[in-house]
Amino acid sequence: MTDKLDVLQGTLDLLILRTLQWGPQHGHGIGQVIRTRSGDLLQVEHGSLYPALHRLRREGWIESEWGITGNSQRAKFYRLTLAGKRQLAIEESNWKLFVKTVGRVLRSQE
Amino acid sequence: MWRKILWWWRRDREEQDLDEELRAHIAIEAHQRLEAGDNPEEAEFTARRAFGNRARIAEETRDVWRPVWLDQLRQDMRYALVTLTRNPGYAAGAIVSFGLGIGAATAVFSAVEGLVLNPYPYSGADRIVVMSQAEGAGPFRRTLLTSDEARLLTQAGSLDAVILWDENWMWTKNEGVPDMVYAGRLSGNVFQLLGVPPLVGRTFAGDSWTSTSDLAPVAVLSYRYWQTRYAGSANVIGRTVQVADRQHTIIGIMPERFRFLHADLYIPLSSDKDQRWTLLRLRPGVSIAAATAELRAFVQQFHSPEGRGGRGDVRVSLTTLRNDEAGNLHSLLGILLGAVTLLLVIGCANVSILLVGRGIHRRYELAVRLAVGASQARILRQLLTESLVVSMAGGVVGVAVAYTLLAVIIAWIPPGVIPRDMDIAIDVRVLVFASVVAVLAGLAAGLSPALALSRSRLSAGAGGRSEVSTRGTARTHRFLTLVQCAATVVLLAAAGAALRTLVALTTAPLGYDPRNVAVFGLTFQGPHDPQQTAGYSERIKSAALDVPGVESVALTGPAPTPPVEPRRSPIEIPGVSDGSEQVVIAEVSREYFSTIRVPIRAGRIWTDSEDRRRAHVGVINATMARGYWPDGNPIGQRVRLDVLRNNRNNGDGSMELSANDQWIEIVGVIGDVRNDGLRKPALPEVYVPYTLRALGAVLLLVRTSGAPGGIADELKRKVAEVNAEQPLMASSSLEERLSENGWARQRFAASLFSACAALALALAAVGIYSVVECAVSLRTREFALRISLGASNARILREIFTSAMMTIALGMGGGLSLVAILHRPIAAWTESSLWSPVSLTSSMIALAVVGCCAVLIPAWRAATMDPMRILRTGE
Repeated sequence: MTDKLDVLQGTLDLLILRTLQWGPQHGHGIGQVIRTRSGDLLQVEHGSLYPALHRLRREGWIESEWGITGNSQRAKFYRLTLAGKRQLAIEESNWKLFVKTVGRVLRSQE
Repeated sequence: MWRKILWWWRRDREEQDLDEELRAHIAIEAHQRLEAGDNPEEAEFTARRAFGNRARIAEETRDVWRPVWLDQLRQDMRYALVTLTRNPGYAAGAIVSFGLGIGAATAVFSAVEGLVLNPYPYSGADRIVVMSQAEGAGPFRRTLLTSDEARLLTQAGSLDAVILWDENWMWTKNEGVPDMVYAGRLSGNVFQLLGVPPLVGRTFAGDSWTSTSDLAPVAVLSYRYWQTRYAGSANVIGRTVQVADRQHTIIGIMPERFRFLHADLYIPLSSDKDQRWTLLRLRPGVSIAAATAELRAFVQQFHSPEGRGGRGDVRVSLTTLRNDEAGNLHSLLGILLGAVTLLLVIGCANVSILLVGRGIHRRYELAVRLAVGASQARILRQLLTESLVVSMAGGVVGVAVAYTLLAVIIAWIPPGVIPRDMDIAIDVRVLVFASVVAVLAGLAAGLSPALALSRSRLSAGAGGRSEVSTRGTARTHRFLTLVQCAATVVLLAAAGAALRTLVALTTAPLGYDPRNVAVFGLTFQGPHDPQQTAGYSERIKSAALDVPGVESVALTGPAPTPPVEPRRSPIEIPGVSDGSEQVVIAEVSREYFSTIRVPIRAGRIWTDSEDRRRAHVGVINATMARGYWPDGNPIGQRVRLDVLRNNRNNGDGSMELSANDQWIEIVGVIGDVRNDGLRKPALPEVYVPYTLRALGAVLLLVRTSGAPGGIADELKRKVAEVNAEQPLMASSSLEERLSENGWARQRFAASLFSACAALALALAAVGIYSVVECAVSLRTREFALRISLGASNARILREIFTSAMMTIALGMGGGLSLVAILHRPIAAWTESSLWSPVSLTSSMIALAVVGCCAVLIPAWRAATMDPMRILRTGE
C-alpha cells in the first residue's frame, strides 16, 4: 500500500478517457481498471476521480447514463463521445511528446 | 448559456443524482468485499472508509458543475442572512455603525463639495472677485463704487469687467393687491458677466451702468418668482410688472439654478452718484496679487481728487467670490469634515470589533465545518460574504441616512449662512466612494477572523480554545477601543467648544431689548415728496398704535443688528476727520430708541417736530463719542455725511432731496448697539431722522405688552384703513430675526457637533461593550474554574473592570494629546478653543461614565455566573 503512486496532475483525464475506450464504465470500475492495469501502482483518489468525471462530462467528452452492473447493482455509466475520442487522440500524442521531451532532458543530464 | 441556466434550474436533481452515484460506488465496493469473503457489516464499513469523505468529494465535484461562485454566493447569502437574523444585536450594531458612518460622511462631504468646490453656475466663476478695502489700520470692508468710479476702474488692465448692483425690497402690485418684491437692480453687463443664458426670452445687455437714467423699463424674472407669482405660465413675456412707480416689461426668465442675490426679479440699474455693491472679473491669467497692486492705485485715486485729502494709506484686498461667500463656512465645514471622518473611523472600528468578536464565537462552528469537509477557501469566502452582506446593508442604511441628513442639514442651515445662489445636492461620487471605503473596511474586518482561523487550523477549534489567537484578538480589540475613545474625546471637545461659543453669543449684551418687538416690512410706492412721506408715515405709525396691546411704534431703515454688513457713509468732522473715514448710518424715527430700549447717555433725542420738519440733527453712539471726542463733548458738534449729499433719484422710490445743507448737528449720545454682527464690538454710528432720506423700504418696529404674536392681522387692517394700496410684510419678532441671523449659525454648528459627539459616544459604547463581552466569553472557563476554586466574584469583576478601564483611560490620554496637537491649527478657525478645562473635563467624565456602564454589564454577567454549570457543560 505504501509504494503506490499518485496520479500525475493532468494525466487523470487521459487515463479516464483511455479507460472508457474499451466501453462504458462506472466510476468505481474506472478506478479499479486504472489500478489493475497499472499493476496496483496507480491509486486514483475518489476526491479527484469524481470531479474529473464531471469536468469531462461538462466538456462534452463523455456522457453518462444510469445502468445495471454485472452484479445487478445500479450505477452511473460513462461513455466516450465523438469529441471525447478526438480529445483522447490529442491527449495521447501530447503525453507521448511530454514523455519524450522529459526523457531527453533527463538523458542530457546524465 | 442556456445549459448553465438549465443546470441552475435542475440543481436539486443534479445534487441528488451525484449523491446516488457516490452511494452506488460504495455499494459496489462493499459488494466486492463481500464476495472476497468479508462479513457484511465489516464490508460496508471498510468500503465507506476506503471511499473517504463523501460530503467533501460531493462538494468538490459540485464545484466543477456550474457557475460555482454564483451558486455558492446564493448559499452564502442565505446562510449569512440566517446567522445574522439569529444575532440581531450584532447585525444591528454593525449595520447601524456602518450606515451612520457612510451617511454622515457622504452628507457632509456633499455639502462641502457643493459649497466649497463647485458652488456657482456662473461662467469663469473662479475669476470673479470681491474687492475690499481698508483705510489706515482699520478693518477691511467691501468696496462700494459709484458709476463714475466703476467706469474708471474698467481701464485697469487686469480687469475683464466691473459690475454694479443694488438690492432692495420694492413696491409692486400683484393682481391688484399691493405687494413687495425683492428686486436686484443690475448694471447692464451683469448677465453678460455671469454668462448664464435665460430660460425663456432674453436678458438686458450692454454696459448700461454708464448709460443715462432713461433706461428701458424691462424686467427679468427669477425662476422662483415666475413659479410662485405667475405659476410658471408660458405667456408672461411681454406682460408688465409694476416695480415702484414704473411699469416694467418682462423680457426673460432665468433658469432655476440662477439665484444671483436671491432676488425675485432683476431690473436695470440707472447711473447716478450713489455707491453700489460691485464684483470684478479678472482677465484670464491675471493673478490676484497683480490685480490687487493695480487696483490699489485706482482706489487711492478715488479718495484724493475731491479734495478729501485722505490719509493716502488705502489697502485693497481681492477674494474670489467662492472664498468670500463661503469663507465663514469654510472653517465650520472643515472641522465638520474632520468630525465625520472620525465618526466613520469609529463606525468602522466598531464593525471590526463585532466581526472579530463574532469570528471567535464561531470558531467552534467553523472548526466543525472544516472537519466535515469544507475547504478553507470555502469558509473564507463564506465569512467574507457575511461581512459583505453586513457592509451592503450598512451601505443601504448609509444612503438613506445621507439623504435624510443632507435634507436636515439644508433645512437647518440658517438663511444668511449659506451663500444664496449656491446649490447643494448629494454627490453620487462621494456616496459611491464612502460606500466603497466602508465595504473595504468590512471585508478587511471580516478577513481577520477568517485568517486567524486558518492559522489556528483544525485542532485548536474543535477541542479546546486556542490561547495564541486569543491574545492576538485581545490586542486588536484593545487597539480599536483605544482609537474609538481617542476619537470620541476629540469630538466631545469640539462639541463643547461649539456649545461654549453658542452660550457666549446668546448671552452677549446687545445694547437693546429685543423681546416683545414685532417687525414688519413696508415699501413705499414713490416717487414721493419726503414731506408727504413724513406725514404718511406718521399716519401709519398712529394707526399701528391703535392696535390693542401695542405700546410703541418706530420706523427704521436698517434693523438694529443688520444681518448683512451695515450701511456706511464717509463722514467729515471739522478738525477731527476729513471724510476718509466711514461710520455706520441709520435712518430712524425718534421713537426707535425708546421702542427697543436703548439708553440715552448724554443730550437728547430729536423731537417730534424735528422729525416732521426734517431737521438736520443726529444722535451718535457711545463708541463714536469716545472715538472722535475722547476728551470733549460731542453735543452741539456738526458732522457731514456723504450719504445725504449723494442722495439722488434712486429709482427705488426715493427722490432727490434738496439737501442744501448736509451738515448734521449732534444732539445726543446713546448706548452702543451691536451693529456689526453679534461677535464684533459696535462700530461708530450716526442716527438721523428717517425723513432726511426718502427710503423706498423701511421696517416697522412694534413693541407689544405681551408676546408679539397675534397683532399682524389687526395691524394690516389698520394700515389698510390708512391706505388700501399699502403692502405690509409680516416678518417676525426682533428676537426671531436675531436668532435667525446671528445665533442660528452657531446653534447649527453646535447641534451638528453635539450630534456627532453623541453618535460617537454611542458607537464607542457599543464597541467597548462588544470588546469586553468578547474577552469575557473567551475566558469563561477560566473564570468558572477560579470561582469554583475560591476566587471571589468581586475579584473577577475587578479584574475585568480594571483591564477594560485601563484601555479606556489610555484612549482618553490619546484623545487629549490629539486635542493638544489639533487645538492650535483649529484655533485659527473657531472662536472657542478646544483646549478648555471645563469642556475637556466634562468630555472625560461623559466618556468614563458611558464606558463604565458598557464594561460593567458583561463583567457583572461573568462575575455572577454559575461556575459549576459552565464547567460541566463547557458552554
